[in-house]
Amino acid sequence: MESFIPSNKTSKDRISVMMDTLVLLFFPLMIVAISGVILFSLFPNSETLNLLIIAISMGLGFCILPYLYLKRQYNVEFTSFGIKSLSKLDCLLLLLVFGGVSSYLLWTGETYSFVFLNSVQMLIVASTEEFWARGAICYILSKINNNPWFIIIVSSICFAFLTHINEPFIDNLIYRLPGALIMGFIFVKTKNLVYTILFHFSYNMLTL
Amino acid sequence: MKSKLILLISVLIQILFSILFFFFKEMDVIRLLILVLSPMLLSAGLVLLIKPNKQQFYLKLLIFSLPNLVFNIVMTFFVHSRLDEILRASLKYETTNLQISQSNSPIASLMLILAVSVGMHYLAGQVKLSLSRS
Repeated sequence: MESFIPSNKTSKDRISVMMDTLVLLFFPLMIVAISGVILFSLFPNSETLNLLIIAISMGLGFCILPYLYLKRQYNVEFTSFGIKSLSKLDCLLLLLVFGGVSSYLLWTGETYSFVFLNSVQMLIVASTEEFWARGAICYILSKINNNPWFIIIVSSICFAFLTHINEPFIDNLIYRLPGALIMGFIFVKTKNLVYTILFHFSYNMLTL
Repeated sequence: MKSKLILLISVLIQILFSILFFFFKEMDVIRLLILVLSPMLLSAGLVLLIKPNKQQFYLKLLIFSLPNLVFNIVMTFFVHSRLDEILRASLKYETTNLQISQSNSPIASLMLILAVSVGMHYLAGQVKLSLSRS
């Protein structure tokens, strides 16, 4: 496998990079948890605001904070996170995945509103988590060691066990870690976040 | 001398917040969050007062974060002793979207808090370094 080479290079010392990794691993989780607790306490049992609260807390912690931090410390561009313009093939793949997953859920007896609301929620969850776990974490890990397997394994372990810190260890080991390893592999191979978001979205939707 | 004084203030802040924990008759998750995060923020804020020295700067940051790290470890034991009471008081916040439970691993939670504390002191150190450069 070819090495994972980020677009920008900096001359930061190793300890600084390690500390930046620590900040990027733990601060987003803390921000998501705290903002979620505050917003859900302020607007309890509000089904209409549910999606907005999830989008705000996860967007703030998993996207805005890591982006601003890496922008300031490493002067990164969006392409470093794997964000690229969609090709015709990507659009076709998007339609196929959304169509396929929705059709399957409707076929199993789920209602239209259930499929629609969960699709929106899972799209928010998949996009924000992928931006952080694959985009930001893989970028910073590549500054420590450019070996693709190191990046895949460490980012997957962090995703499976840190993001889902409140879930049982065994669940994370047998249910989330394999999926995370596949997503890590897809990202390192393609350097495109769309494919990992689609995989994450399908994985979550099909295991609802 | 100034560094030692700041370190002493940091230690005193941690002791003060440890005592405060027992002053609250009803402790819930929001109060606990404030009680844990406030000394962390204050301790990191004190880093802004130290003299930035490029040599052994990380070691200095680690020393300054030590009182808060010890505070968090001690608080874990304190919290554990009042866990049922905290859970009962926190249930008022439970909604459809917000679940209050004891299912989190205490060791994993402690590790998360310790990492955030070290990270917070590092960030404060970075801010101090960039301020001293400009």
